[in-house]
Amino acid sequence: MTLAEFTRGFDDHHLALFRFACRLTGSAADAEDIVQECFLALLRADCGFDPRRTHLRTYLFGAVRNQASKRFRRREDATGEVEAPPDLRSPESEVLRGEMQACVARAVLELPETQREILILSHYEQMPLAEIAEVVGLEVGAVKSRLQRARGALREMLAEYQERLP
Amino acid sequence: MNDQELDQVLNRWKTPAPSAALRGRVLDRFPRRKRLGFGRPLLWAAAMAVLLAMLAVGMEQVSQGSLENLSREAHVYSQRTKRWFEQMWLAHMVHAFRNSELKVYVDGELRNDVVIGGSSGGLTVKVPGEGKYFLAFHLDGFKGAYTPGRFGGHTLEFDAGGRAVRIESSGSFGFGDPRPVYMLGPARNQ
Repeated sequence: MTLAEFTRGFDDHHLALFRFACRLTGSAADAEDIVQECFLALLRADCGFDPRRTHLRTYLFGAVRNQASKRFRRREDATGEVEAPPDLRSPESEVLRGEMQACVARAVLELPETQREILILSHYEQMPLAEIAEVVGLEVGAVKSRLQRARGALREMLAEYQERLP
Repeated sequence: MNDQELDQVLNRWKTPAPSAALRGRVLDRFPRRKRLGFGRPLLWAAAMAVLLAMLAVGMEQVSQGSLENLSREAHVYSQRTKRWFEQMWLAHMVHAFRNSELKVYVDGELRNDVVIGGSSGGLTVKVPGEGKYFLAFHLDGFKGAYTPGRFGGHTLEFDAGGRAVRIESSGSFGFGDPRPVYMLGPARNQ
């Protein structure tokens, strides 16, 4: 991989990867570390990326998923429970907005791991089901049913907040 | 709550932008092109070559005393020196390429079981189940069959028994001009 190809790959994908990592971990600092680690892994001799078999974007989303999953488990092992997302509430007029944002984040982070990944890729990254299936290593049908379950669970968890939307 | 309302609620969750330093931190780690300079051993070798040339010319003048002989000897010696420098340069380049981070593709498939070794004269590439191939950058003193290959500074490509082998380095070596390589082998059971 040349420097030009590497730079283009970074510029094309790093924002989406950062958003994905940020929503998976609930932490911007962790997300930056994950994105950096995934791009640097491309430069290593033992990197398994083969451009003839996988699109770079699909490979990188898979790498971010693996890294985030490792961190999530490490954190669960350390604390014994899933860490709550940062409290985004702020004073004055930001209270309601911050509260809702934290509530949505908390609800998404409470989903089972695969459902969470699929929901984020589908809703926030607008990724087609076939590509999601490749990233998470499932059949398209399984992705579709998990997405429906995730949305169903969120619908219940977030129902009360919907009424308070301005 | 219908689908549209759920989407509306989910869209409330925004993420911050990554820090501006992230791009620099990642791109700075890309291995830069390695410019090969003459190291201390090569400078010593060059100094010795010049000294020997002067000695040879001096001795020739003493023994023959002829300007014609002096010119002929100087020409022969300069040709030998040029060839010697080229071989030293090639050995230096092969050594740097071999010690860089390499990825080996056989028929387009990334392989982690290929063993690369060699000496100053070239590279050895051992493909499990296929045998060991020797890649020479010059054919001085060699008389036998070989298969041509290509070295482009960043990649080395050759055909091993009908299978396309591509060795990709993390760096670039030489002056960027493609040059031929000669594949000898395979030697089986090594």
